Amino acid sequence: MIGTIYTDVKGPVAVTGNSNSTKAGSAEATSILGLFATGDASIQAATTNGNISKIHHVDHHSTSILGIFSTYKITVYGE
Amino acid sequence: MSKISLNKAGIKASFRRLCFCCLFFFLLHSGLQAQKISKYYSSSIQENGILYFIEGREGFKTDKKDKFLYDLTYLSTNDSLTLNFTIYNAEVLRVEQMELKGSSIHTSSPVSKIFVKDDGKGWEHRYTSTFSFKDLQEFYSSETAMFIIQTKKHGQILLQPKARKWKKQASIFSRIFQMIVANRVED
Repeated sequence: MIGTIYTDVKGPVAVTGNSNSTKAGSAEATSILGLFATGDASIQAATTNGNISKIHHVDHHSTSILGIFSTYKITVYGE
Repeated sequence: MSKISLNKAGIKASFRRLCFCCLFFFLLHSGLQAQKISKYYSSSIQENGILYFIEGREGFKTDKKDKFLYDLTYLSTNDSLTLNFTIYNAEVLRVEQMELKGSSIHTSSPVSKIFVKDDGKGWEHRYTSTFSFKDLQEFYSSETAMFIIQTKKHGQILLQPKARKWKKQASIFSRIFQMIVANRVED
């Protein structure tokens, strides 16, 4: 879901059969002017950042202002 | 000649309009950030409590402009929370301890390494530490704050945010802590 003027949306990415998360980790990619985009918003990066070995579920958080500055963040929950 | 000057004036006006729009939405975005705390944390209901993840915040830089990022994870049934942090440096560091220094609090925690990797310009170090919930609450109610990273060979790395940035960050984090306490199951 993307708003042309402003976006601030959270949503699901994946879920597993594991339960009881005690850790969380995130990873982010950013885009400027819709022309340049950098970063590592992979589940692998978020898992490593959170020191997680067993994934419970994954969410994303997207933000954008006029498409000029956008971010895409992945958060992994697990143990 | 007059067409060219008209075009120039038109371009200038369009550019001014674009700048105004950018400024407007930047201010709108900043304003929304100051009011809404939901974009700074996420929560997830678990069998043994609620897991809160307070998003990584920047704003801390060393005198050598080394970047520092951190995030907090807290399970509502625990007394302590996890502070994971990333510090970028030109050299490989061996971090031993993380200290938090506020107006009326000075607490420390030993750290465990998660990873060290090359980031193209230098080295990215990721460590984890544990602090008590009460200490963090007090830290974020401080008017001034400093993160102190103790390393084995490179001495201590001081990270102090600008007063304005800290004021905003502390007020957001304090409000999140207030919400966590309000959601605790009362005895």
